[in-house]
Amino acid sequence: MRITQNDEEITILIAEDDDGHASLITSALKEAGLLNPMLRFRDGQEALDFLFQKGPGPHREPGRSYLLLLDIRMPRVDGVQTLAAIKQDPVLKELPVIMLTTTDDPQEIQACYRQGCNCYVTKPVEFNAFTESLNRVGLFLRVVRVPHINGEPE
Amino acid sequence: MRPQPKRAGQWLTLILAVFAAAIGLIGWGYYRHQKSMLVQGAQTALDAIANLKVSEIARWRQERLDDANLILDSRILSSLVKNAFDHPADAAAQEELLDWMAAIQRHSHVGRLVLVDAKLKVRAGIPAGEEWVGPLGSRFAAAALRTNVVLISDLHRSKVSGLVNMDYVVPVAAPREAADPGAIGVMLAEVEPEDFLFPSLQTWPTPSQTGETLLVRREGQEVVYLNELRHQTNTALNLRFSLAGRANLPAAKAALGQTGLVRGLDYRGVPVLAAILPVPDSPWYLVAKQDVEEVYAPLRAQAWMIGAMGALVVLAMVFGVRLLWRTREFEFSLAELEAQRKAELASRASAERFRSFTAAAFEGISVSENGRFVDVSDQYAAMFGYEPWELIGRDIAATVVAPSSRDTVTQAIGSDRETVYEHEVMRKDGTTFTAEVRAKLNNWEGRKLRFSAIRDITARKQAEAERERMLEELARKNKELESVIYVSSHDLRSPLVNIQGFSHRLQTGCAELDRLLAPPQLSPELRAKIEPLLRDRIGPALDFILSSVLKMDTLLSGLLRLSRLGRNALRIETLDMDSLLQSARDSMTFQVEQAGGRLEIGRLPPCRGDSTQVSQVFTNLLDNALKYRSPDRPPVIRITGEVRDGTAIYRVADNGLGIEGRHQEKIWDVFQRLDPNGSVKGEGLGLAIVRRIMDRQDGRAWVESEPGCGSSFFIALPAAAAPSGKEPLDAHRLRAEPSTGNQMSPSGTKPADSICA
Repeated sequence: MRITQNDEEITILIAEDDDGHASLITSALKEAGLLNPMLRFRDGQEALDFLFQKGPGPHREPGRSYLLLLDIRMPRVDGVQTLAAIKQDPVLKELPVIMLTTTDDPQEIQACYRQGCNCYVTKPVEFNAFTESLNRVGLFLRVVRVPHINGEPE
Repeated sequence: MRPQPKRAGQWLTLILAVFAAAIGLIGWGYYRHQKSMLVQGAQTALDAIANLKVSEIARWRQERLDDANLILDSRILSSLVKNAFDHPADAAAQEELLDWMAAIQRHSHVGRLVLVDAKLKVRAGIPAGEEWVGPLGSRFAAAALRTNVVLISDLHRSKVSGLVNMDYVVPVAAPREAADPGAIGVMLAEVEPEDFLFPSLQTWPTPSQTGETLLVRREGQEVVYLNELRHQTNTALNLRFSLAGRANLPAAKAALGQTGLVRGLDYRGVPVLAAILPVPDSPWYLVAKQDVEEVYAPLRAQAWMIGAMGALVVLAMVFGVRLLWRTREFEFSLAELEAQRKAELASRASAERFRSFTAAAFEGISVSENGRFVDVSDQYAAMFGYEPWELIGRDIAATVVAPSSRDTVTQAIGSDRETVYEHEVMRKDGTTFTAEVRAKLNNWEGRKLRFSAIRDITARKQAEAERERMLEELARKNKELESVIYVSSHDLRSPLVNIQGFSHRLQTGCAELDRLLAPPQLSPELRAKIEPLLRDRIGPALDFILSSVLKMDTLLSGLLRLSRLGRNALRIETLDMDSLLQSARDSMTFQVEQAGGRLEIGRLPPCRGDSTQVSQVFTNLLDNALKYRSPDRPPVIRITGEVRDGTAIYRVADNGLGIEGRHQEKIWDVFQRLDPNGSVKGEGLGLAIVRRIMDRQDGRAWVESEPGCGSSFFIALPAAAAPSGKEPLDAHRLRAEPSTGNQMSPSGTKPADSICA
């Protein structure tokens, strides 16, 4: 299945510095049946370059929908800073962001909320928590395609 | 002692005054008594004199009347007179008559005798040459002839001679044998009062200067004085007063008929005492009078004497009292001197004691006045490198105070500061050190003295600085440690995620493999080789890895939480423990119910602490109580509280498994669990957290337990005044208050519902 918005496919952006974590996330999502395209960034800077259409890497395509999974701790530009930059941009602030944290430290969570993210998921990312946070960012699963038994798209 | 004499003096003066007044009164009383005595005496005398005189005069009058009657009755005289009248030429008859008349005149106290015939013609007279009759005499003679009785003319002043006399007019009867019984002539006997009457009146029987007798008679509206008076001349029949005008005159009173003892003003206007008596058978009144002044004269002298004596007595008294006073004052001053001497001795002894005190003290002692040394102990002087005598009289601030502290010290001295303070002081050689000073003011004999003790606190300051430094280092190290814990626990989490995640994946992979092995396509030999690998080696290994990971995760979570406690700022406030525990209870309702237990919370006193952390403490304790419950009985947890010496002590008592004595200290350590392999789950951090929190809030946590019975965990925090309206509770009240379902158990006894007795 894919999550869509307005019948459009959403690209899931994952900003996570740890390869292991990133792999786990993508695997978890794939194994749950999500077939949306996923893009991985190694840190906040790469993510911002993509979003603000700068730098050598891939650029955001205007008109496409994205969902950003943002890890809090990253080198160079960390999750909090990235989030701040996004929320300050008039265009990008509509981008749904889910923060990923390793801890349930209330102070960390407060920091997230203060930055304006609406939800977070504790790692390791577990599918139920993930969907709940999806709900929170307002991505309703409008179209749920029944996954093929092998996970192949219909 | 001083004020007393004054009051006594006032009293004495009062007594003296009263006494003097009494004496005065007595004297006056005596005086008056004497006065009245004198008056009485005088009056008695006057009365007696008046009586005497009156009787004399009366007798005299009677004698004269007798004399006259003798003439009247004398037959011889009748025949002689007849004879002489009938024979006027007979010289012998005339001579006989004259002889007889002379004899009468000689023996009858008569002044003049004149004989007139029936025709009122003078026929004879004795003494010779005085043969005349005044007009008054003629009138009387005529009347005598008519009435044939003796007539007496009252005292009168003769118009002829100007003298005062009285006339007895006696008719001469005709001889017996005469045909005409009528009088043949009249004998006029002129009595001169000077002969007897006046002298009699004038003599005063007592040696009085003012006593005199008056003879008065009334003439119409006037009173006439009949005799010559003592104090005035030419008064006989001349001195007269109108009765109306001189009512006070004793003579007037007499003339008006008043008799007896009177007072009045006499003809001189002088106050007199008088005794009035009428002379019987006459129009005369006798007044015996005496000047009042004379009467009182003896009194005057007496009065003087009395007054003098009285004054003398009073003076003597005053003098005597004053003498007594002086003696007393003298005694006072003696006593005072003695007291002074004693006081001096005492003060000297006290000074000695002072010296001993100050010499024995650790601190240096000084006495000052107005910022200058009055006295210093040896220690004091030595502290600053001086000799004691060098400091006395010197200005404190300028001599022993370091320049940096001079203002402080001057201000402290000036404001009479008695509280402890520190300042820099200076030795004689100029070096400075820190000292602690404390002073006490004392008013001694009007001087404001400042006693102060000074202590060298250099060592203490250093120790304090060292301590500060150590504390800082401790705090810093602590912080370091905490961040290390924090960071490490935090960072350690990250690899954990991987381990956990990939282990999981491995597991799923294995599961998939397993599934794939199911179909019989695989060779039995291969299957026999693969299956054990999968099931016995890979599978269990992964299980162990995963469980270890889980454990690590738990441990790290616990560590993180523990270190977080140190990083959070404390907010100390007054906590309403009742509501705090209520929230805790509410959050645990499910667990309690599940355990089939009962949670009882009594009334708890308020305390001072951080709300969140204190909540955490109780949550942990309740958690433990439920976790370590006894399988033999339903868990009963009782929470009580009391205040003791300003500390609020709370008790969480359970009827669970209890803790053995040797474990009771270890339970507080990190990661300690009573039964790590048993049924109870948990990281073993609960009590470590509790202790950490209590340490941070200046509280205490400890346990009392009996294995098999249950445990009581105690939490001590600073007590607080009750928040809004509730009164602070104390143990006594708590014990006394019963309420349904909230039974309080006084500390030391075991909770009910336990197997313990």
